[in-house]
Amino acid sequence: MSEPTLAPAKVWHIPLLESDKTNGLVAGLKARVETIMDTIQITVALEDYRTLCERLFKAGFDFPSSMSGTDFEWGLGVALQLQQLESKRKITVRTYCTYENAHVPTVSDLWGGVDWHEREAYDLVGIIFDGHEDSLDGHPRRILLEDHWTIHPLQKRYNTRGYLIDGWKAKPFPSPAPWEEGFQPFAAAAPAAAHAPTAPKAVAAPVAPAAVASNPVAEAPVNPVVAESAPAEPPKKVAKKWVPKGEAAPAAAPSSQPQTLVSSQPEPVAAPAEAAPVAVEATSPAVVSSQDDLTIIEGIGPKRAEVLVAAGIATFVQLEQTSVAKIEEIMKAAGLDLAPGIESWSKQAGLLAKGDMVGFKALTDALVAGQEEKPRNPKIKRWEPR
Amino acid sequence: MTAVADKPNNARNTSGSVMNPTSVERVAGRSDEMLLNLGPQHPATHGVLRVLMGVDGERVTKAIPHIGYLHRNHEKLEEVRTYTQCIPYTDRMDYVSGMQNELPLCLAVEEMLGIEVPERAKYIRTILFELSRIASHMVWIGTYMLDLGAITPFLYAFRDREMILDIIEETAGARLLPNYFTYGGIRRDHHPRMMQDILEFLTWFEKKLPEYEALTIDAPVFQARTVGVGVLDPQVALNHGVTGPNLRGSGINWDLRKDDPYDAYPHLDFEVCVEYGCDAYSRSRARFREFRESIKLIRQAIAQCPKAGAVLPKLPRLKPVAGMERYRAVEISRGQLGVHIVADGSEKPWRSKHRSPSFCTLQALADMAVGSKFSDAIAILGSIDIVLGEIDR
Repeated sequence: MSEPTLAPAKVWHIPLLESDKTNGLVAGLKARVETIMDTIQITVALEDYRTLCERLFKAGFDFPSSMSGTDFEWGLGVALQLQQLESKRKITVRTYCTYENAHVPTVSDLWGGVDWHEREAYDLVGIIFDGHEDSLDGHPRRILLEDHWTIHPLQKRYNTRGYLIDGWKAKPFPSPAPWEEGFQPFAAAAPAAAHAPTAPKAVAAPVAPAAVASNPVAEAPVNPVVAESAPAEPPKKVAKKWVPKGEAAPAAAPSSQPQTLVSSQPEPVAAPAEAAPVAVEATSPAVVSSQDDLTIIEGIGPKRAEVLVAAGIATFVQLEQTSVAKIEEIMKAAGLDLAPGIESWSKQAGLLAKGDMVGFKALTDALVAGQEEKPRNPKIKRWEPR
Repeated sequence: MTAVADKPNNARNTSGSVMNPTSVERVAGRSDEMLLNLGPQHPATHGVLRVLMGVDGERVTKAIPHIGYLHRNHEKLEEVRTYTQCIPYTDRMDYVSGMQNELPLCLAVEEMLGIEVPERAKYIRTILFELSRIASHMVWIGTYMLDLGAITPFLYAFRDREMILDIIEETAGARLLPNYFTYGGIRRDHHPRMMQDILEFLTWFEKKLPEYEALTIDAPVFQARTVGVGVLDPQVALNHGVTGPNLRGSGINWDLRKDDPYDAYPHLDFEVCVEYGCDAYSRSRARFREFRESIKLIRQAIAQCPKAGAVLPKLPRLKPVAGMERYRAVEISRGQLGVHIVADGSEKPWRSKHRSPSFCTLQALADMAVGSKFSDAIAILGSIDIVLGEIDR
């Protein structure tokens, strides 16, 4: 697999001058010089940044390759790449500032080429370059985004959609300072949740499985308003309170239904009366809870939930045990259209009864208009906002 | 065409900000500046560029580019993509020269991780790099002549460019956004006929070059419109970070293929096209001469390329050490395209900054355009060969 190479493995065509480390460039400044590959990197304290740049300009580094700003979560950093064309030497100057005092002196009067780079660093990262000629209200004029923008999107506190990340906190300024030996810009591994989106479009599953595992069988836990981690979720519809058999409500329900139905049928009065004694048998086995929020099931809205409750199916366990034909009968009796996904209701109810929220979410994700699709190939990556 | 000597090297003509515009020259008794928007929709702006021009009669007193109409936030998106997933984003910056954009990112990460590129991959990368340069310059000459009023060269250039795009499509799968280079080499070996196809194309193209020259560079109207127009002082250009044929058209011999070579360039012999006129004509001439140099380079590379061998080595985990930073630049058709990567030890870059040549060249537009006539401003904009995709990213 490896071939005889024509040239040596690593050839740096830029000559490195060891004397650069000790000549007058960094004399008297708080700076750390290191040689990395073919570039000399000088990390300098903020107060000496301007002095160092002036010295470099006088030393003949006349070509500004690039200048970038970076957000390190404990502060902001500036990296200026310079080159001297005659000797081809490359130098990187790095300096860092804190969030509170994000002011860095400009070097755009030395090298005109960093003018727009500084504007971009302010625009996207938020570093204010003092003394920049093209300034507006004390900061360089934005270049890529419009002038009225207030945020700096490339900062790590924002996700890729431009929303502030929940719970993002700045890290402390690193303890061997950048211009001292032993500086580490990344103290610990970056947390995996750093880029989690917190847009209002949140995930469908209301709670984490861990919370549900402790609640066995048929409860009413799954109201997402209770979950503290999901922000700003639209409140789920809550079913009407179930009242026990024999009260006025079931009798009232069938009479109220003809008003709400699109197509009223002649049988609604007869069917619930006929269903009532059946429902009494269905409810006679002791069930743990009295009522479940049936609207969580995909395909059941408040109307259908009322109908089911009126017919005596009020818990997930009951719904799971009811056959599809029976449910269809109930729906037809109440005058509602047959939902396309009735077959999946019992499955969903079964999962909810067991408290298997993960499985429930998986099932509902796979349902399209209530009907199950073929299981999808997990290797095919689907688009998700990040 | 003498260089402007009385201004300091780092003087800029940015003429204040939008909020308080000031003009540079006011002719006594006749100063009546009108602010015109060149763009963002304009056939001559080569993308969505808005140049706020102040004109006094026909003389340009102010030229302030406003960019950001094509800003797609690539740099933020690349922070949540693995290194391999970042490569297609680079394609979309300078969408006219397909594979050239992928190279600085590949080189930066290869150098950070110490990945050795097999020789065959180096040569194939060089061949396709130069082929993309020819394709990109064809877009330039076609659209530049269109700006200046000639339609035929545009059609000829695009007809020949189709041949290049066909070769690239057959090898990489896509015409303009190939996603073919990767860390360690190229994704897969080229299609069997590629070298033959390229040689046939070069034979055809070399025969066509005199025709192009007569139509464009040597045409009297072109020379009347570009000679003496848009003078860019070499020291000002250097100080502003101008690179590529724009810098070489001002007499400075700086080409990263010679001065900081990569891939197979150390083994290839070519000459750097430098012109000393400092005006739009010199920049165009410098760019046009690169056609012949690219043909030479490709022919040498095809002759020297190993006929068989791996195109990808065994790759390590693409996780550079936390805290490592690397800036690497290559010479694409527009100038020096650089990538600055800050690595945090994970498989995604912490920060990737793309330094694009058109971004830096456009800063110098005011220096070139102020003081010239308005139609010369169009000629200048075409001569610096900008692509908004890489300016705005």
